[in-house]
Amino acid sequence: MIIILAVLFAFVLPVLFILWREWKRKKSEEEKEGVAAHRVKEPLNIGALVKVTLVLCLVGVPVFFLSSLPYRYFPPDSSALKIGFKHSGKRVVDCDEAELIKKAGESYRESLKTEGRVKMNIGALTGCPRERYPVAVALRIDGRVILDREYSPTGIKKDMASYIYEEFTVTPGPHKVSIRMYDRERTTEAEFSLDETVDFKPREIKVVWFDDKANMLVLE
Amino acid sequence: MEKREFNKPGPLTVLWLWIEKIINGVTTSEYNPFYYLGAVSIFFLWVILVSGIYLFLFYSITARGAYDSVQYLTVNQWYLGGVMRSMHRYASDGLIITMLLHAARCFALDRYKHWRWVAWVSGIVMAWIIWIGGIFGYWMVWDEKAKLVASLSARLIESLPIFGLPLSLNFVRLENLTDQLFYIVLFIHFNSIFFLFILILIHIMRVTKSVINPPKTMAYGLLIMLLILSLLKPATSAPPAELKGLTQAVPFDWFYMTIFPFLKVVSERTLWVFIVSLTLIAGAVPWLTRTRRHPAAHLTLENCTGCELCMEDCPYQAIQMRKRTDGMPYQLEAVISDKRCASCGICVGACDYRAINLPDITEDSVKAEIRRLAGELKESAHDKRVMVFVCAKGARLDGMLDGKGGLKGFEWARVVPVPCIGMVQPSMLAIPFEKNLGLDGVYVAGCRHGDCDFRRGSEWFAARLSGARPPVVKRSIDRNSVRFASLSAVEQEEFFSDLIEFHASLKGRSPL
Repeated sequence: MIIILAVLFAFVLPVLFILWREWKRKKSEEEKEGVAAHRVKEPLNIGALVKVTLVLCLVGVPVFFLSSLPYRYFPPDSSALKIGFKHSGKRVVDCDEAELIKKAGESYRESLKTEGRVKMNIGALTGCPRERYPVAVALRIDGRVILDREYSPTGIKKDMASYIYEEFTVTPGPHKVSIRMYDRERTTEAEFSLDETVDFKPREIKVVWFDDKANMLVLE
Repeated sequence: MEKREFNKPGPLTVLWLWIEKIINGVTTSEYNPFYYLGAVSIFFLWVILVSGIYLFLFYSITARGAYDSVQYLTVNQWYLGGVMRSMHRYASDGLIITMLLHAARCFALDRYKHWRWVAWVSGIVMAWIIWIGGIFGYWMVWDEKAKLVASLSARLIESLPIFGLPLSLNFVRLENLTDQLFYIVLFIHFNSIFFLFILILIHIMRVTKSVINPPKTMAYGLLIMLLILSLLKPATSAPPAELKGLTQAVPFDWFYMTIFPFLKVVSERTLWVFIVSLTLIAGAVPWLTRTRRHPAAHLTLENCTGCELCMEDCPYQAIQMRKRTDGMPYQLEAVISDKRCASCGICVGACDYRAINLPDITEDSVKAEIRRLAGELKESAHDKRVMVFVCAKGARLDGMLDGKGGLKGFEWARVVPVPCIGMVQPSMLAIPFEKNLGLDGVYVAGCRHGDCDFRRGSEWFAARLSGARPPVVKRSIDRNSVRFASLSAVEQEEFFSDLIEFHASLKGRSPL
């Protein structure tokens, strides 16, 4: 709250200050030019106010009707299945960075002991490829392939997690949902799978996500 | 130099002016909202800002508290918080209407090209900011409508290749929905209005003395209209967002959400291509429909005294003053920016020293024409004789001019057309009253009050005539012999009836 208020005043106060300064400048300019003497303070004309309000109400008519006109995006009584989670694919090259660092440390100690100096080899440490496999997800509903897609790892070096988000409309009733997920080079055997018969109630959304702690796909 | 042709207004211009004429019949041109669409839009922004700050004071920036805090304002505090919320919404909707009307008006009246391109392009950027800010505003309520709008707009956002993380993940499970998201949404929504105020400065930067406030009477009218709407139909929320259920029919704000139904039939990328193409085409309209530009005003430096009047009067900030460069005993000299010059001639009307001229309509040529026509009138007409100055953008006299300055059926009148009535220099106005010419009256027809095609020409002329703005019209000229009428291009009938009435009024008077 304090941060928001600070942001608010960081903007509001300078704007108010600029407006006040502009108003003062304008006023002094008018005084200098003698415009103020010729300006008559605009009176509030009640007759004109009624007329102008009536005309402005014409703007109000579309606002009245179009500001909250009901709209239905999804077909009535449909259901949906969402797949949404983040998951990191396995490294493309099996390169253990921690092990490399450990080995390099040992060699430094060794060279320090024997030669009295250390030969740094940064390239050996940074050369470890960090790229990950894309995560592939295949979804079948009642045996029909609905989704079969690879999700690229994020990051410039493609070394971060893949984000999976898909949404499908499903007719209510029982459906056999089968999901396969691959987080390394795709073979016939999926690393993670889920097969369940789900009873979709009208308007219900079922979600498939990945539970990192249990290391498994979950449908809820 | 080729003589300037004054083009006839197109059918769209005529249609638009007719609509404005009808509204003038109700409100008078002084309070016609069409003449203040930009100022009305800014007024709506102020209402949005003030009501928004009030709503913010009670808003809970959390995923679980946002809905309840808005409901508290709407239900428990309906008399103030509820009204503020309604005004916030309806002013935002009104803003879309006035903004679109403003753009449509500029297009219909051909006021978007050449020197006006900055205002046109910045206006399009502003439309984007208003739209984005409005959509994020609807997220904040976090009701079923917000959920639908959030998930559809998230789909649009994440379809852009620059966003790696799908925003939609936030709406999959309640555990994914964080308060940080609401902070970000509030930040975007809140900052959009500040971006708008900055963009307004860019929008009007080439405009001298821009009209940013509607007249007081109109401001009250706007507040009354918003209050009526707020009381008749208070803004309410849909049921609270439920992530485990599909959104059913929800009240949609079609001013901001029109694009979302398209996602049912086209992909997100196709919709982006459509929106971006539309924006680019709209932005390029000033160049796509470009017409030949009239030559810019020309300065004769040896005549310039650095009095600054031309700079003060130029409606598009095309004239700047700089330190004298020619050794003349004046401090300043005027510099004309050709790119910004509208070739309206207002600077010619402001200059008492014949230092500025339009290459295709010089001050000397106008004065020579006035003398020729006045001399002709003196010879031929025996009735009261009237010299008419008519603005090329004001009342159209098509079919009534004989091509030599005569007005068919009005042998007692001669017409001098000028690009803008602001070009009529006080010394031009004095010519018909010179002793050797001795005309009886001068009739001046400018643009409609508040709707000068070159923004201020009519106003400056009226001020010079009344003595409120230099250079002033000679005091020795009897003001009863001069009539100034404000008429739009579709008011030919009004022009003639007023001219006849003016002519009749001269008959009862003795010669000057």
